[in-house]
Formats: sequence, structure tokens, C-alpha cells
Amino acid sequence: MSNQAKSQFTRRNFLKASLAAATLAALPGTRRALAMQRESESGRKAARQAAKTIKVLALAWPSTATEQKLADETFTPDTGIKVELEALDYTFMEQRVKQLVSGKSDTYDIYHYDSQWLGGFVLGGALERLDTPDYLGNSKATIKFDDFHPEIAARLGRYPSVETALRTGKLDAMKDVPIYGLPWSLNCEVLWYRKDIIKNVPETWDDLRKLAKQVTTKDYYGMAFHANRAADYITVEYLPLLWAFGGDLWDAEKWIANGYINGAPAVKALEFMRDMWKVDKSVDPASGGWGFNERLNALLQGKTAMAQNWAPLFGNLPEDPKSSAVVGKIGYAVVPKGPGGRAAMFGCQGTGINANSKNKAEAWMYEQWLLSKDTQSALLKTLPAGFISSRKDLADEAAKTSEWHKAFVDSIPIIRDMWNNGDYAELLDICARQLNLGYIDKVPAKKALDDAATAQQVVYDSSPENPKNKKK
Amino acid sequence: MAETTAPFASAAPVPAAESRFERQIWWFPRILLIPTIVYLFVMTVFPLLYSLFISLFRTETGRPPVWIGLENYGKVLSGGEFWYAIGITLVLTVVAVTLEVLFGVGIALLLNQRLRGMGLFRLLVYLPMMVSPLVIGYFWRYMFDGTFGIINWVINSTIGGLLQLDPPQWLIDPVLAAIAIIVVDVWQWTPFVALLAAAGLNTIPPALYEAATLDRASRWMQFRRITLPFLVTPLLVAILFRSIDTIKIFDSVYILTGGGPGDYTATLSVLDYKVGFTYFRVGEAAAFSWLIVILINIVTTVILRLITRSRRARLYTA
Repeated sequence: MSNQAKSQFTRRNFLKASLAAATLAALPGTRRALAMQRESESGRKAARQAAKTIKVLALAWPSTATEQKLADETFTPDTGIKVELEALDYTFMEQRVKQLVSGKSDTYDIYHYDSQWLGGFVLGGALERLDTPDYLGNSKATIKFDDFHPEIAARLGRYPSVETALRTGKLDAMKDVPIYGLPWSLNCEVLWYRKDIIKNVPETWDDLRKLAKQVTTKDYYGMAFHANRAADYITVEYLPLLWAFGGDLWDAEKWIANGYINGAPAVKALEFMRDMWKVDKSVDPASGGWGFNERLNALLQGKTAMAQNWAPLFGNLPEDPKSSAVVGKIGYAVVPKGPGGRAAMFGCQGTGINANSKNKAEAWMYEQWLLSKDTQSALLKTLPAGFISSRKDLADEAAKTSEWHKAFVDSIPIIRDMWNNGDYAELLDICARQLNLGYIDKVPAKKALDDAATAQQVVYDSSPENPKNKKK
Repeated sequence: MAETTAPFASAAPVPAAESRFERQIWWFPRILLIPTIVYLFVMTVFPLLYSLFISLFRTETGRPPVWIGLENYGKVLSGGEFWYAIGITLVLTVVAVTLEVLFGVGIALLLNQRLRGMGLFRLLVYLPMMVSPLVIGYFWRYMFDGTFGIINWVINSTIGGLLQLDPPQWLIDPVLAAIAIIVVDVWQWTPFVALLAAAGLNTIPPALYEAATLDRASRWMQFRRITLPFLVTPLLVAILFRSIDTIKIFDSVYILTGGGPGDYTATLSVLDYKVGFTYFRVGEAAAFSWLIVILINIVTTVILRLITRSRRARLYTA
């Protein structure tokens, strides 16, 4: 190569030429991509102008996928309103909604919420009031509050709750309480048991304890609890026992903890749970650290003969051979009773309209569609959705859907719930911490619950919803 | 053409052309810094100042914020849980960081050898610190499970089975739960310390080792008198970063134990998260966060002084 050619062909010139060539090569593609983006943006803009889109913040439950599918197939073609469901893990849902409410966000139009969150959401201004002429009070409304099972609807929709009315079923005391939501996805804890091991379902908790001890082998335990300190694991495990032994969390009228959370029935219930792993050896000691997944795993992998678990939400899982080693072997029954009666842990979700939404009319149309008989029936028939309706006119259909649906329907008269006021999270955290300490035997049960009562009383006394504080 | 004169030599005005150029020279770097400054202000300074502001209010769901001054700070400092959380956090930090330094130096010395397959080994060693702490928390939680976990399966299949011992309940016993958290932290972040230690090893002149060998210095003496002094500064830097991170530890603790059993492993960040995002007492959580910042600053100041001292010591002995 000549010296002149060499000087022309320098590294700098080579880089410049390469860059120019690459730019030229990319140009048509870039122009195409930009054109496509402009087209899709204008297309989306046109679609937005033509039809609204409503956004639903939903829990990552099995029913969410079915809800989206039905909305795409039925609601959107009928109304032209597009629906986007965003599923969020249960752990983060409550705080996400509270953050959205603090910022008066209109990102979502509808929130699906757990029963405990109702008070906090109402106080935070998250939910639109529905017992008004714009919604349930409208003569053209296609759904009515009376369409739903009264106690479930009252627990999920009316706030502030009147616990005595809910317990006794005398709901007249709540007829003027405002409505902020409607019942959506229903669950309660029922007794899951191995049909091949347990021939007679235990009637009482004492029967269950004896049976659990009898059937425990080196391959599996008789009973499983999830007693982890986090979330509501140990609390929802414990409450059916507490109520069955005649105890209660608090005096809901006077906002008092002492004598309730640490009363004799409460101590007895905690000692009962503790002694099942410690004395009887019929419960896995690892259960002190178990959350929902571990307890479910114990059931599906045949590591336990019995456990309380949610139905119908996860009722389909034991029948799935991909995840279950006990296909066809799980039976479902109402939870056992105790000296104080029988009570099943409430685990239902409601649905409500975001008070800051800019599409309230469309959101109301969606709620009416979602809670209509046809949609609820379609969801009910989709077994993997784990769904059951609270519509009274679907009660018979619900009970016939599956064994676990029937167990839920049979449990409706005995379902009870924990606090749903604005301070429930702190009350629940105290309860979980102390129950866990008593369950794993780090602290005697009585002391653990006495400490719970003391800590919870501070919360009750400072709560803005305490009637004593409201009068000030 | 104007003559170049010394600065301040006369009061004669600077020619216009030079002055414009000088102005450009002065402005241009500053303009380039603007995006960084804006980013720092928006992402760091403003949130810090805003959190300080909201820490002076009481926030309750459904009520407007109420000015209470330093009451939130008093409430946090007077709570027994806060001091317990400091204790458990410092214990986890000291133990975890010490083990990370010991193992990190060992791994760095190993990686410094010229052996076959060292590239692959290096990749495997550094892999843990590339994985999300949340993911690590989840799979270690299942590994530590008393019934389903592989750790207890190994124990039961070996020494536990032979001696007929009850399997340890890692996440239920307070001491074992703390050990589990330390194990996870050491597993994930020892490679980071090893990385810094390896960088320090690369700064050691080989001639020093040659001279020491010629003088018949033992391996241990070479390590003590040559290797260690060169590693002091990078190790102190590693200790600084790891201490800050471990004091703030959240993800792995939250997933592994949730602060349990009871609140035995509730570190400062886990407790702060609970106050802010479970109880939603945002003002109190902000005050809590500032107290954590102060603690981290105290620790950082101490370690930085040690780093400065060690660098001065090396300068004087060099």
C-alpha cells in the first residue's frame, strides 16, 4: 500500500466510515419503527377517544385470570369499555392501595380488597359510597345489596361494622350503616382431611386432637398448622380455636382487650395448639415457621392427615396431578366445634369503586356486570378459579359445584372475622407476635397473651375510632 | 495582535475574543454537570429533606397530619423494640462482616493462584452477589425449613440420623434464626469482599515476595509482613460497605423470618418497614429512618478514620 493510501486509511477514518455506514443501514429500519410507533400511538389514542378503559387492582388470586377473560369476552364487546386487571400479591396490596389513596390517585377505578382493609380504606377515602342514587339507590341498577348473603355483604360492604349484629344475624342494627363495597370473592377456612386415612371427620377439637395423635406416623403428621409470626398466618389458625373455646379477641363495644385476648379460653386455645406439637407430637414442630405455602405443601405432599385451609380458593389444587401427590384423597368438612360453639375463619374479599376515579360511571357498569348472576355463575363453573358467589340465587348451584364449595356453603352460618378497623394491622401484628412466642414455647401462653392485651390496649386507647376518643 | 500580559499586571481590558472563549470555558463544564445535579437533587436530596419534614408530623389514616415536632423521635427512642433492634442489628453486622472478611481473604488468596479452571471458579464465586436478595431469601427459606429443607435432610441423613438427634428448627429458634440470617448474608456477600481483597492483592509488587523468599521468610511471615499490610486498606473499604449494607439489611430477613420468631430477629429496617408500611405511621417511620441514618453515619465515621490512619501509616513506612 502506498504511503498516501496508508495515510488516508487511518483508524480514525475507518471508524468514521463504519459509523456512517451503520447509520445509513439503520436509517430505514429506524424510520419504519418510528412510523409504526406513531401509527400505534395514534391508534391507541383513537381507541381511547372511542372507548374508555377501566383499570382494576385485583389480588393475585386464581379467579383474577378468569375475571379478565370473561371481561374480554363479554363485558368489553357489550359495552365497548376495555378492562385491564392488574394482579398484585396479597402481601403488598394493602400498602399499595393506601399509597394510592394518600396521593389521591385515579390510576385505578376499582379496588378488590380484603375484609380487614375495609376500615382503613374507608377512613382513607379510598372507596366511593355506594348506597346513593348514583349506584345502588338508582332505580336502573341491575344489582341490589339484598341480592347477596346478608351477613357476608354486611361484613364486606358496610362500615363501621357492628360486631354484635353480625354475630347474632340481627342486621337491622346495621341497616343505616353506609355501604362502601360489595361482596366479591369468598372463602373461609374449612377442615381439609385425607379421606383414605380419616374415616370419621372429628366433630370437636378434642376429637381432632386425639385423632391426630392416633394417625401420626413416621411418614406424616396428624395435623398441620401455619404458625409463622408474619402476616396473619398464626392468627387465622388460632382464631377458630379461640372462638370454639368460647373466647374472643376484644370487647368490640367498649374497646377492651384485657380479659378477652388473655382470658381463660384464649390461653387454653393457645396451649392446645402448642401441646399438639410439643406433647402429642402430632404436629410438625417446623410449623412454627410455616406460612401458607408450607402448610399447603404439607397437604399436597401427603405430609399431614388434616389441616385447616381456605376453600374454595385453593380447593382445586389437590386435584391437579402436577402439584399434588394426593389426587382424589382430600375431603372437606366444616371445622370442629368446642365448648363455646363452632366458628370458621372468614376470608372474603370485597370490591369497591375508587373515590378518586375519573370513570366512576363505567366502573359501576363493570361492578354490575361482575356481580350479575350470569357472570358469577360463569366464574363459579370455572373450577380452577376457586370462586364462589355470595348471590343468594346461586347458593344451591354453589353447593353442588364441588365438595369444597359445599364445605364453604355449610360454613356460612358460622363464619367470623377479626378486626376491620383502621388500626387492625397493628393489632394483628401484636397478636401474631405474641401467639408465635407462645406457640413455639419461648414464653408461657398466659404471659404471651397478657403482653398482647397490654400492647393492644394502647392501640385501642389511642385509636381515633374508639368511641371515647370520638366524643372528645 | 494584543500582547499577552501577566495577570493583574495592568488594568487594561481583556480583548473581547479571549473573554468570550474564557466565558465558554467557564460555563461549559458547569452546564454538563446540570443533569447530574438535578438527578441528585430529585433522587437524593429532596427525598431526604422531605422525609425529615414528614418526621415532624403525626400521621393517622383518615386524619390530616398534625405537627408534633420531635415527638416521633422521642417515641422511637423510648421504645424497647428500637434498642433491641439496634442490638440484634449490630450483632448480625459484626458477626457477618467478620466472617465475610475472613472467608473473603481466603477466597482472594485462592483466586490469586494461577491454576486451570480459575476463570470458571471465579465466575461461580462471584455469582451469589449478582442474585437479587429477595430471590436468595426465598430459596434459603425453603432450604432452612425444618421439614422440607435440604439442610435438615443432609443433617438427618448423616450425623443427625446416626446420633438420633431432633432436626434443628432453623427459623423458629431465635439463635438459630440469627445464624440462618448470618449464613445467608455471608454466602451472598463474601464474594464482594473477595473482589476487593483480590484487587488489593494485585497491588503487591512481586519483587517483595521474591526478596522475602531469598531471605528465607516463611509463608506465614510473608503473609503477615507483606500481604496483610497491603490488604488493610481494601479490607477496611470492604468493611465500610458491608457494615453500611448489613445495618440496613431488610430483604433477606423479611423473607427468611419476617423478624420472627416473635420479634427476635427484627432488625432496624424490618421494624421501620413495619411502622411505615404495616401500621402506616409514616411520620414515625420517617423519624426511625433518620435515626438509622445517624447510626450509619457514626459507624461510617469511625471506619473512615481507620482507613485514613492506615493510609497514612503506609505512606510513612513506604
